[in-house]
Amino acid sequence: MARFQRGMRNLDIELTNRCNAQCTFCPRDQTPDQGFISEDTFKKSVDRALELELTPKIHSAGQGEPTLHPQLPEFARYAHSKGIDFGFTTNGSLLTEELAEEILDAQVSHIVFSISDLDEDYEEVYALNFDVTRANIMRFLDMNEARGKPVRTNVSLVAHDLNRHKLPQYRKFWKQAGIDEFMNYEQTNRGGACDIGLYFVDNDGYKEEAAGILASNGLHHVCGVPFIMLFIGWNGQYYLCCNDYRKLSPLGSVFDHSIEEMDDIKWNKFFEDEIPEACKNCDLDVTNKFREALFEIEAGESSPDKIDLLVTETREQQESLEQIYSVAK
Amino acid sequence: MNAFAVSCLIIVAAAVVVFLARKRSTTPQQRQAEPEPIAAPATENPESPLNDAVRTGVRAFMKQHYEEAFELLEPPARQGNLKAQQLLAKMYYAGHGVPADREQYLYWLKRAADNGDKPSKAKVKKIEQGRTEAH
Repeated sequence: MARFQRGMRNLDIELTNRCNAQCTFCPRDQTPDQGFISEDTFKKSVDRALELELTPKIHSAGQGEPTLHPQLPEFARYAHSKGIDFGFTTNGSLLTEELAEEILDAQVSHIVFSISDLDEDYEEVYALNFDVTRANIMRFLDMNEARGKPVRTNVSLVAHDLNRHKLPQYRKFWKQAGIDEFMNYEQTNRGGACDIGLYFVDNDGYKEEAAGILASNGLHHVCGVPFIMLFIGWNGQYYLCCNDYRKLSPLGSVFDHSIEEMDDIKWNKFFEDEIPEACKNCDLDVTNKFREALFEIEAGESSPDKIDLLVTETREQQESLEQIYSVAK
Repeated sequence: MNAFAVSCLIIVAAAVVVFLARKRSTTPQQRQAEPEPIAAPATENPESPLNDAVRTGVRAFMKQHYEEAFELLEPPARQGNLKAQQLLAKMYYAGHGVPADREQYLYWLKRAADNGDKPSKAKVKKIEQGRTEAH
C-alpha cells in the first residue's frame, strides 16, 4: 500500500550539479562528483515517478544549472509525453532564443527564474552579466506570451543583506515584465554547507532539552522535506534531501529502488542514528530548529515565546505530513 | 546549559571584548587610510580566538549588526580568514557598517581571490577587465 497517496509531492531530478553562476548564498563549491545525468537515468527517474499512485510533478533544480544540460528540451519532451508536468529552475543566463524556442516546443509546464537581485547587485551576488540575463528572460516572456502563456513563470527571491529592503521593488519589476508568481525565501544553511552564523552548528548544547520539548508536546523529530521534496541526484542516487549539498547521504540507486521503497529507507534513516548525517548541521532539521531557538533565547535575541511558536509550527507541519503518510509508522 | 556551552560563550564574549577594545579608538575612515599589512594565513584551529571572532562576526552580519560584524571580522580577515575577507568585501561594497568604498571592496575581493575563492576571482577579473577597457 502506498504511503503517500493523498498528497501531491515534488520530484527534483538533478540534471547537473555544475553551474555557470557563483552565487554568494550558494554552497555549490562543496558539491562533490560533478556531472550530468544520463538519458537512461533521467528516463528511469521519470518512470519511477509514474509508479506512484499519485504522480508527482517534476521540477529539476538540483544543485546546478539545468540549462547547461544539452538534453534539457529532450528530457522535457519525454516527461510531457508521459503526462507529467515538468519544469525547472534556472538563473536564465543561458536561455538563448534558440533554447527558449526548444523549451516552448517541448511543452515545459513551469519555469522558476532564480534571480534575487538586479543590476550591479546581481553581478556582485551571482557573478553573471545582468544585461544578458534580463534580455534572456524578457525575450522568453515575450515568446511565451506570443504562444498564449503555456509556461507558468515564477521568480524565486532569496532574501539577503543586499536585497532585503529592495525586494518589493524587484517584485514590481518582474511583475510588470509578466512574471506570474513569486517565491520568497530566507537563506538556509543548506544542510550545514553554508555558514549563516547559527549557534547550534558550533555547539553541541541543548540536544536533550530540544528532544524533551518535542516529546512533551507529542512531536517527532522526522523532517518532512525528504518525503515531500523527493530528490534524485544526477548520478541516479536518491538522496535524503536537495539540501544535502555535500551528498553525505546517498540512499541507493533509482535503478534498484522505487520511490516507495525509498520512503521506507528514508523513514528508517531517522531512527537508525540519532540524526541522519545529512541533517546533523541542517537548520531545517526539527531538533536543530529548537536547539537554535534555545541558544537565541539564552543569548537574549529571542523571547521564550519562540518555543511556543515553533511547537505550533512543527505540529502543523507534522499533521500535514501525517495526512499524506497513510500507513501507521 | 552544559559546561561546554558556557565555555564557548565565555570565549566568544572574551573575543568580542578584546576586538572591540582594540578597535574602539579608530574610525572606519581612519582604518581605510591605514596601510594594509600582509598577514600570514590564520590558523585552521577551530578553537582559536580568531575563529571564535569569525563565528560571532558572521552571526552579527546575518543579524544585520554590521558595525559589530566589521569590528569582529576585520582582524581575522587581515590574518587570512577567507569567510571574514568575503564579508568585508560585501560590507565595503554595500556600505554595511562602514562607508561604501570601491577600493577597499576590491582590496578584500583580491585577498579572498588570493585565498582561493572562485567567485571573488571571477569578480576581480571582471572589474579589472572593465578598467582596462575603460582606458
